[in-house]
Amino acid sequence: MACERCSNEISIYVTECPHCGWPGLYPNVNAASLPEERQALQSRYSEALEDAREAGVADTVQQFEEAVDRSWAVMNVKIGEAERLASSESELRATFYGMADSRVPRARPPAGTDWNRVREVVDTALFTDAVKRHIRFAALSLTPEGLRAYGPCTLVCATPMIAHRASAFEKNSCQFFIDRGGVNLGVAVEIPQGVRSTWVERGKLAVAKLASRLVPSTTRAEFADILATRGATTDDDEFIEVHIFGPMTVRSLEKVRIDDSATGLTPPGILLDLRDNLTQLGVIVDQP
Amino acid sequence: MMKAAISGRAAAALVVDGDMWYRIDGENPSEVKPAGPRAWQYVFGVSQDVQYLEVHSFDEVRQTLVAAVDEDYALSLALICLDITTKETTRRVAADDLETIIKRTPGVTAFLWKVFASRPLTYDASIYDAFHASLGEARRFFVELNACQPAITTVRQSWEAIGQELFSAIDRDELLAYATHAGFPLVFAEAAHRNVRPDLPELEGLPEYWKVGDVRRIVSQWVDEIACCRTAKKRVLVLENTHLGTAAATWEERPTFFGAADPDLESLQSIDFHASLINNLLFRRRLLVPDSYFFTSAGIAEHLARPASLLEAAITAGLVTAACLYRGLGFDATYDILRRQRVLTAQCKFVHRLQTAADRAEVDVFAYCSTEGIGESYDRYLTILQAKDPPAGALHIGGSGPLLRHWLATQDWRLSIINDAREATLKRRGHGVHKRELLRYLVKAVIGVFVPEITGIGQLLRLGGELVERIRVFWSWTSEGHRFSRARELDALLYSPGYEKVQNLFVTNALGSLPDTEPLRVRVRMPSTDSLKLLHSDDIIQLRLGPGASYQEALVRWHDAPDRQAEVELALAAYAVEISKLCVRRLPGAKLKVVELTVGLPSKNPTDDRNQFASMTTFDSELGRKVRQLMPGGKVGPVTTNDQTDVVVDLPN
Repeated sequence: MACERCSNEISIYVTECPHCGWPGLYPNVNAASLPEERQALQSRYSEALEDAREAGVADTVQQFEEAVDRSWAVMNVKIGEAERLASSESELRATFYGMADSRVPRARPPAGTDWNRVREVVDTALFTDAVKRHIRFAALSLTPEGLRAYGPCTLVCATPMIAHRASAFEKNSCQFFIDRGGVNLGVAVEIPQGVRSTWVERGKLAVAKLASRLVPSTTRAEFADILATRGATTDDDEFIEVHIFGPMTVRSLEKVRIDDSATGLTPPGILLDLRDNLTQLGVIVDQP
Repeated sequence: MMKAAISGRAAAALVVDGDMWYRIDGENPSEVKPAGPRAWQYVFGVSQDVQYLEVHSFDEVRQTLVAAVDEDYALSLALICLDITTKETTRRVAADDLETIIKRTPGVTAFLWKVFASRPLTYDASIYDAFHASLGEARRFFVELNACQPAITTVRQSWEAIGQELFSAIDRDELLAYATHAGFPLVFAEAAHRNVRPDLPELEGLPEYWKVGDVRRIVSQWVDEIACCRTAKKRVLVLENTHLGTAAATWEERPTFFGAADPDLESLQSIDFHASLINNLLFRRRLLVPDSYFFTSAGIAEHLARPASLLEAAITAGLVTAACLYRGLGFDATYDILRRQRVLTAQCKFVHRLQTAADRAEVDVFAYCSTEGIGESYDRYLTILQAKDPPAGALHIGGSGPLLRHWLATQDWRLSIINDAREATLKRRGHGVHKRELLRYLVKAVIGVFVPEITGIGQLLRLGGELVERIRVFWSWTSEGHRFSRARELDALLYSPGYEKVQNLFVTNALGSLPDTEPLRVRVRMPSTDSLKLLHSDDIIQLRLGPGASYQEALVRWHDAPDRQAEVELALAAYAVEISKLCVRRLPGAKLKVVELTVGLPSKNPTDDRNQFASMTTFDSELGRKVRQLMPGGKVGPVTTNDQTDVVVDLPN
């Protein structure tokens, strides 16, 4: 890849040009933007459209793509995580949450062969290790309801705050590796082309992956469940994964949905404070 | 032996037993769910507090998880209690929750101490509020945390004093994180609190990539620094002090809410800010200005643009008090918080100068004023606007035609907008009516949709077109109601500059509600306010603190003994002479003229339902004519003027 400022060749995984220091590069977006990657996605997409025409569902597929073009990136977290995010602008809280969270060694399993299996999961990535630490994982969704099994708080990302630094991936990336025999010591998995897209082209990726599941009788209301299917267990969840590079704060959010299951389990003071902080910062709080 | 990864922050654990993966959630730890490696990044996300354990049973995982979750909850709850921006109702609920968790999980307090001993509390922490919201063990924790702040500061400063050369092979932040969770700062702070040298702690559980010798050298240096350093002199807050509010206990301490600094008024009426400030400083005991006004008032900004401003001098002299939303903060920290909360959208370039003026003061110029009751108090005034007819007192003043015309023109807004704002406030778990909700609905009524970018009445007036007059009158009423409610909550008199009969509905109502009584009128020779404006700030302050103080004392005596009216007349005359003398001395050729100063009678019945109109003092050049114009019935009203007609309202308790 050539640096857009100095034109020297640089790796797609750097966040600034090592030669001229040009900033603002997002490795995940770079990877999804490579010509060969986009071409492969386009081929899959065209193939899916052709199949749809033959199956008589071209209109339905078009409607589905239009719906996905307006989809959100959503993350499901526990209340504690949401509370930290919502209060991240307080110096008091940022300071002491930071002190409490920092452990040694930081989020790394201990050394020793016994731990290798866990270590491999933690390190498995579509990106280099240095880049992966900056990636937030989300799911693509047509509604503010995320994968609640991971937490009762659905954080709906504000699209303008992530569109430039987000990319989409075919499915849960860890599952992707498992399906291909990865997440086992010594097994190298190569990522095929055409399974990721930029944020703008997420509709194409969704069509390439899911058009075959649409039938003439599929209604718009059913699109949401087709795009993100909640299984009996988290292992059965099926969705398009969103990779967001860089930090997130409460100002990166448009809406937060708090599931009823949160009440009764979380101390009420934390729930109240969460609502106060989100409301104060203009984030819509949606609580059924 | 199973491997477990546990995060209190994520409230979850993943357990690996051979090829099998399991997940346990903090919300329901008795349930063991099947899982897989794919769940990792969604279960733990960006949590940095993952603990890795080797365990024999799920019970071990459960115990560790439940404790970790409670530690995490307790930390969040303690921070909610301490955060100066937390709503009082939320703080109280959080304090109760914290007490429950401390009682059910014994290790929680030790965890809190490890974290809070690592650094002194930041400027946006209010240990006073945490203390008053809590009970039992939680309160004890906050009391001890307060007492240990000087020692914690010493430990932190000692850490920062360690030379960087010792850290060549070790990351400084990472070592501090290790030390924090090993409890070093806590042990050191306890020693510093007792003024003894800390013992060198055991170094256990070090990461394999650190050399023990390197860590030992650093920690030894830390201990040496603490031993050398005297415990930092930091004031420990007296938590039981209940006199931090502004509610003045005695009549003579009552300040005047300085309405001339209200940014709303600037958009609605023409105000001579400088004249208002001079006259109020000369004749009032103390002015009270809400903290946000300092950053948003165009009048204040314009005034501060001049060097050696009167406002700064008055702050330093303790004649102006900032009514603060947050306890114990200065202008700079309050500005920072209000900016972060988007309460302030525009920048203020005078924050540092205001803070410097406050730092120079020998008295505390910041008074904490809770706004908990403001919504309900405001609602009471808005309810008056929702009545079928204007308030009776307002109809007594002059011709009622213009007022009735505006009353009818705004009928829909008075009913629907206020109702909508009341409902929206309730939905946001507020009480009464929040002014920002009222503005939102007014914007919607005028423009058709909510426009979040419109945050002030000035912006709306520019967009309002032919509706401007209606908007101006409606917002004048609601805005004035807000000033009345704030002054009432602050137990302050209300200074209302630039009186306009229709726009100042509540003042008019106050005037019309007055009984027929005669004020004290004193004819004196005085320089005009325009001349006073030319005096140096220090001269105005010296006048007020010198001869002005004698006049204030005479007023207090008169309040206690109404037969001592003559003393007030003499004191006021003497004060006027001193003002004139200094003005002539500084401004040779300055003309003096005879003016009639009016001093309102003190309120005899503070529980009177009617708004009483007795300012205790005022200043005027053409008082007689204007008062008669204003109140043809000959009722009493200390009205002040040079270029504008001002009134001061004494609100009943």
